[in-house]
Amino acid sequence: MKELNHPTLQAALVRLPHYEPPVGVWESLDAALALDAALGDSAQQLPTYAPPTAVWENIAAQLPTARPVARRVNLWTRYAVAAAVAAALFGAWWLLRPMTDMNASEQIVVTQETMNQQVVAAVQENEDDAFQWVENLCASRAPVCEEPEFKTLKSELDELTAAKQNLHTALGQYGDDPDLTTQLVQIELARTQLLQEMMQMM
Amino acid sequence: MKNILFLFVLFFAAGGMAAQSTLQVVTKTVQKSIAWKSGYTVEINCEKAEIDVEAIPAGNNTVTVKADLTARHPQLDSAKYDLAAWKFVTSTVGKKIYIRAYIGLPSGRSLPNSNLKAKITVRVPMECPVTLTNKFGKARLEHLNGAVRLNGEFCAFTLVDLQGGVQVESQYGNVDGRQLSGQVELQTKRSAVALSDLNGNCNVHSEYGAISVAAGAQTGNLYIQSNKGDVIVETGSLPRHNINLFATYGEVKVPSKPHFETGTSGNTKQASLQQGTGRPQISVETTFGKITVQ
Amino acid sequence: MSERELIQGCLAQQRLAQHALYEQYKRAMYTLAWRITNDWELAAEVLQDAFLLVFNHIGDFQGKSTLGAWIKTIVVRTAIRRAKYRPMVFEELDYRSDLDTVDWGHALDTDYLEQAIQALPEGYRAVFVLAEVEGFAHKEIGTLLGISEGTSKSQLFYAKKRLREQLGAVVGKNEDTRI
Repeated sequence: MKELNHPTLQAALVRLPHYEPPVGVWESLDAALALDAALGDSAQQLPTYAPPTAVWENIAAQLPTARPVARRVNLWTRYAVAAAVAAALFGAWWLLRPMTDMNASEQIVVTQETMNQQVVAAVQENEDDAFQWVENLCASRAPVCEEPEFKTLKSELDELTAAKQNLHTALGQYGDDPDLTTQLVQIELARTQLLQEMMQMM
Repeated sequence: MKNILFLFVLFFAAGGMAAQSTLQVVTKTVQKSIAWKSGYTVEINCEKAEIDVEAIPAGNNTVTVKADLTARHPQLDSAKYDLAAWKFVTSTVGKKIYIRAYIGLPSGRSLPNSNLKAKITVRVPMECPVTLTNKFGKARLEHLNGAVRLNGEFCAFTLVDLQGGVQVESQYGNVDGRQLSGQVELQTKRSAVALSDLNGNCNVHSEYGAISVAAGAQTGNLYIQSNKGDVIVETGSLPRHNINLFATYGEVKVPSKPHFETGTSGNTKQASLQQGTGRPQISVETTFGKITVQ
Repeated sequence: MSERELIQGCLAQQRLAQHALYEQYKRAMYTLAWRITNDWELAAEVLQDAFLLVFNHIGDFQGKSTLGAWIKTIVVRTAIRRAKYRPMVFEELDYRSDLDTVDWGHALDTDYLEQAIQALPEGYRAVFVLAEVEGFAHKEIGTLLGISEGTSKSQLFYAKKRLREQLGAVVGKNEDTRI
């Protein structure tokens, strides 16, 4: 077989779309997982029952008959068998060993860096109390929190808050990455704007 | 006596602060070469990584990877201990070469205190298709002829001279693309997009992000759909495209020459420039965003 | 949530982590299941079965490959097992076709390619999707489908030949307009 311009096919295949599964799949999964969790403990407490004796008789009837008792094997034969097994194992390992790296090298070095305190300080800033105030307000089921427009803003705020927390975790205690910190600041600005809009609705 | 004690405490406190600002950086550098054949693709899957993907000339059938995995902490022992959390794996499964850098913790071990980062440079044959996912970092891909597929979260993408088509899904990571050929597909959220020197068709779907696209002589059909973000399209003084703009709950700003037909339908402001059939199309739709053609 | 946190959350059977993992991979895996089964409903069932397996066996994931590759293998196995309820059909080959050449030209239209893949007979489609789209080796495909490595190779060729025939006119027409 001859194949010409295979990269054209590959390039087109890479562009094939991905599709969204129906929402029902997760709902079913969720239910199945909940059932699993519920059964997890109770299954251990269920009684056990002995099968009818005929079951084993049927199984036994299909098993091969017992081998004759092995003869005593002399020492040299044992060594030969052991060597053959070792060779076979080595051969299997040789065939199955990872073939990915043509060569690989590894080294570890220690250096020092001065932490950019200004960037770290921006990351470590405390959360403004007003955000917690909105959280408390909605936790107490205030009527404004049930208004559709407020709900939309709150859900956007929640999304940004989750993103902020993810970034915080990624940056950690000693993270002074200016790019990620800039993103954190942008998220904080967007959160503040949302907060202001929500405040105006109250 | 009290004063001396105070100075003593102050001295140690200051010493502590100074020590705090110096970080011990332990770096493990791993270099690998992986055999490549025509038809193989490279899949890069990383976190907290600054990734560079570069092309090597055709005919060199090797993928090379250099990974600098670092742990930064004021205490050297902690940095050394946390460095072990970095896992770096390369493997070839079928026709896919996987390159993976991730933070793997044995069960029961808590998150490292150190700041963990990776710098990964991958050199692939020019025609090799590349799929890349990264979180919390950045990625730069240059001079590739194979198809490129990218997925990022908090990952800024810089794309230069990619000839085989590009697909990008990005959240919280800006996309800066230049000299892109083939079909370009971008789906972004809370990411700014800047594209120039496009040599093919391009679709951009964006939420909460500014979009700026320079449509040149080689640019094919351009379709931009933006929700809650402003769009700027640069066409120059003599656009070669037919242009249709729709801004719902937004604004449309077009140059006085050439003359655009403008109008309003409900909450949507429209502008259109039709210069004859057969020309490529620029179509921009925004909701809560401003469209500017300049 | 990073992949490590996802795995740890799934190990602890945290529903949020399980859902996040599902969200991350659902599109790719649903698409893969559909490309193998050619049946949207069956693909949804496969997705459900496969993710139940993933959640129940996440402790077996050693990190030797990517998590996505591990999940993908589970989805493929599940899809093939489910598709076997409607036995996979492997058409007899016309061996004279060994002399043929398949030329993909300089451009292929993705929409038509998708349609042409779905129009392939079941067995060929599975081999084609596993080999060309997902990058499995013939040996792996042989094991997954219960066929020999040689059969996998010949089925792939036949699939490509069919595909190219179906795309023939389309490729010619669209070569210059779609890349």
